[in-house]
Amino acid sequence: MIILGGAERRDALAELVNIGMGRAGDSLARLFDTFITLSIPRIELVQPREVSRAIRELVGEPGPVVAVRQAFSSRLRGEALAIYPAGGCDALADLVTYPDVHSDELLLEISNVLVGACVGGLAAQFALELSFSPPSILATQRSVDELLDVECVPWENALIAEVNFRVVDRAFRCHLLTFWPDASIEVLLEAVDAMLATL
Amino acid sequence: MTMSVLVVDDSAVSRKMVIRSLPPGWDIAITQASNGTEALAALGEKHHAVVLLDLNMPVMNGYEFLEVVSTSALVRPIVIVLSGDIQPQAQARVKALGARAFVKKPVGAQSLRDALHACGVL
Repeated sequence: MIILGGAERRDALAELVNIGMGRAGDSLARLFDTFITLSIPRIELVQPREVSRAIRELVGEPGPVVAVRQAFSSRLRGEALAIYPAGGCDALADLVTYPDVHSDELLLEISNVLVGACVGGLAAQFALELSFSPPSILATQRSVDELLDVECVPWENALIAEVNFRVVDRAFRCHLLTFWPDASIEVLLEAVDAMLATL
Repeated sequence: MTMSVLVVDDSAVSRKMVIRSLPPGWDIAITQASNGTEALAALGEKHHAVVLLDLNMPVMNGYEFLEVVSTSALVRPIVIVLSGDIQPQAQARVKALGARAFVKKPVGAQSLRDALHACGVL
């Protein structure tokens, strides 16, 4: 059983995520050439039996969604899920004018950019380079409750971070969930403790 | 003369990192606030020459704070935005709302010193 410990550790983790999210928001803003509204990062430590509830609460989208997953590895390993409410995906055509690109391909590309910038930007703060798997569509037109099969979750504890990106006046939005399982939590906490020790 | 500096950020860790990055030996008195509302209360209590402002905060964010300050009768402090939100339009928006400089997070001692210099307070 992993315990996050004091409020200061949680606060420092959120700040690391915040900076990663800022990098991702910048990439998306440049891709769409518009202003992206960023959320306040939320972090929760969960066990497999709680994961569906945690995703539902963190994402808070009652309707069907499209989900893209991408794994990352090095000393830090884990998975990212980019979750797009299905209705908002229709608004994509107004935001990017890539002729003849299928919307699934576009979502894969957007997810790739967001995950690379957010997770990569987080890891870069303690000089870690990550490798990323190619993104793949996990689900389309599914409820957020049904995204992960609890029986297949390969970890005992995971830190989940949620950030979201919104485009003003458009239906498009994206929730980015990152899952940091057991060993990665320890690497993160080690880095956080080293950072806190300098303050 | 001791200068009053207000550090506004919802993350206590981030405030500590900012304070640690301030030039050593600079004669200042530091006040801390964890959102725009608290920052306005601090400004109402006494004048602060410099505000180091985060953008992404609950209750009242940095943009809303800048808007209130720009229309208030208070003596306007020099506001330097310190933000992880680094998109071009974020930088342009805060400048339009009266911020004098923008420093990207994580804040380094040199970039903070450069911004303070550029604003003429160092």
